[in-house]
Amino acid sequence: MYRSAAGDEYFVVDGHVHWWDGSPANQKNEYGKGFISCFYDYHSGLSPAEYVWPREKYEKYDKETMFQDMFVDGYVDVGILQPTYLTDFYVNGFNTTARDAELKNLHPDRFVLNSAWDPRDGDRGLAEFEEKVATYGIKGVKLYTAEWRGDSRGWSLTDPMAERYLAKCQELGVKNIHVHKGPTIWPLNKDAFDVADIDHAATNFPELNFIVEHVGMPRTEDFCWIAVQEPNVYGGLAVLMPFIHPRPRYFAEVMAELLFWLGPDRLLFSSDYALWHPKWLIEKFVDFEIPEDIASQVGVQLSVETKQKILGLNAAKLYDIDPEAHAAKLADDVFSKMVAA
Amino acid sequence: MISAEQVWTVLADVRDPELDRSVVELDFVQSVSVEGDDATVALRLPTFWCSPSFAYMMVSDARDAVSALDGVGTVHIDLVDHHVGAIVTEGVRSGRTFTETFPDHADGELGELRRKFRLKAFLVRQEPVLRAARDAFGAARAVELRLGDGSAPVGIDGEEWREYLRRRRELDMDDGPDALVFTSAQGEPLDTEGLDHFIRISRSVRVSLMANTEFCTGLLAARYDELEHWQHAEVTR
Repeated sequence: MYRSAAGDEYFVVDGHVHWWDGSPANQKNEYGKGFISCFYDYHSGLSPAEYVWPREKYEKYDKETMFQDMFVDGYVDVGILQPTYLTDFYVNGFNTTARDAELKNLHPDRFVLNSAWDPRDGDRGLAEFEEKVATYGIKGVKLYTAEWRGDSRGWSLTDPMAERYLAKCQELGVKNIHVHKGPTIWPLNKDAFDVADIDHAATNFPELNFIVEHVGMPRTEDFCWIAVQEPNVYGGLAVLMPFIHPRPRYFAEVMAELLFWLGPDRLLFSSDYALWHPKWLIEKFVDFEIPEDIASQVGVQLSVETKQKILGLNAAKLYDIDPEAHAAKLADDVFSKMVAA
Repeated sequence: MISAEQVWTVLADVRDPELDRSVVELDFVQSVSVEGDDATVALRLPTFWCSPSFAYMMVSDARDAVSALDGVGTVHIDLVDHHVGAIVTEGVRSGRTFTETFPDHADGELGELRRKFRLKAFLVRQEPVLRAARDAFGAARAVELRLGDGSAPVGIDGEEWREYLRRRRELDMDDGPDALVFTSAQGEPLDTEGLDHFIRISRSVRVSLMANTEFCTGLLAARYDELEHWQHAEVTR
């Protein structure tokens, strides 16, 4: 829970968090090394200097650090754990559902545990996915269409096998589909960041919600056209959020576009932890106003009510969390006590 | 004999196809060295993972640009610090097409992708010019303006105007004096009633492209320890 200087309260659901192991011991090859290095550049490039971690800590952090950053210092009420398998790059995977489940088991009210699937795993994967849903009570998945698998450089939501997985999600009530795009694709001569397959899937599976991570960046405008057409398409704000620090003007421009095309009910805050620390993102976001010239040209405002929706209420709705009841439940858990102390 | 300055000059005209900006301006050119008539250029990109298709386009465009210099000998464009750096470098050096460079991962050349970006670049470059024309003359006249009618609308500087005309030509649009100044990216005339909406859409494309450019330059700066400079200089206008 975040209370602003003005006295407004914000129930915070962090829509995309990780507990990864990108350490050299877990790296399988140069791609594993390149992946975490790239993440570190995202982190160091956009974070305020005082929030930049040493590289070693960033490669592998312990769960206590994560709990402290998110729930004690970072105002987060609930974090949604999104796995990123990358088993071609990392010996034990980068951030699997099984690893995330450790956190979920320790603090079940503080986390939503999502899983993942990959259509290239075929029928065997489909059965395994069903098993995971039963074991962990999964309500959402994160799909990474650019993941390498052997000789393959990616997949599309329109692949017939992917449609079978989506149908399975609909059948099992796994209704939140987080989609992450780029930077590779099959075939490589197509636009790796193309979001058109989401349009297709959202039309064919109206009972599912499609949360497009990093609001389709770098194809944000194409994402907006799709979201205008498809009411079950949402935007995850990971990666855009940190822009608020080094490039507030561009943050305002993109936020204004998103509010204009999607409105305030379909945008989800996320820190992408440990890419960025939720504390400064939330503090800056609550204080942020869209500059007058942009606000009047586009015709949108970032009101307190809109910020409350973006920071938590929208995600709470997708995951059937009652914000008031849940906040009451968390009020004297171990982290709330640490905050109070 | 050629000079390093000549190489830098022609590289300034090579663009990142997606961001529609010069690779020199984006700071993607790490080094240029000239020995006798031979030129070697090192290109660096914002991440280890930048799409192979974009990387290939920049490397092959750089090769074409430098090779066109009068009296140039061997041209070598080296893509550094990239997940397919060696493959792209060798593919372009030996004159292989994209499909030949990635036989297992590509099923066609890059013309379609290039065109996709050119259509967006056209809208992005057109938007401020069209907006100024609408504000100065009204929608009804703006959509009827012809190339032969004169120069840039009030409030638009010469460079913005020239860049717009260049994007127009790159889509092979009619360049004659009777051709409409403003059309859709597909070359169709614009209608007065729909003009505000058309500009609204183009604005979104522009915002997306600019945010993307800032993001890429920030990642590049983080990668090569040049953040201090980036934090104080926005690339896009």
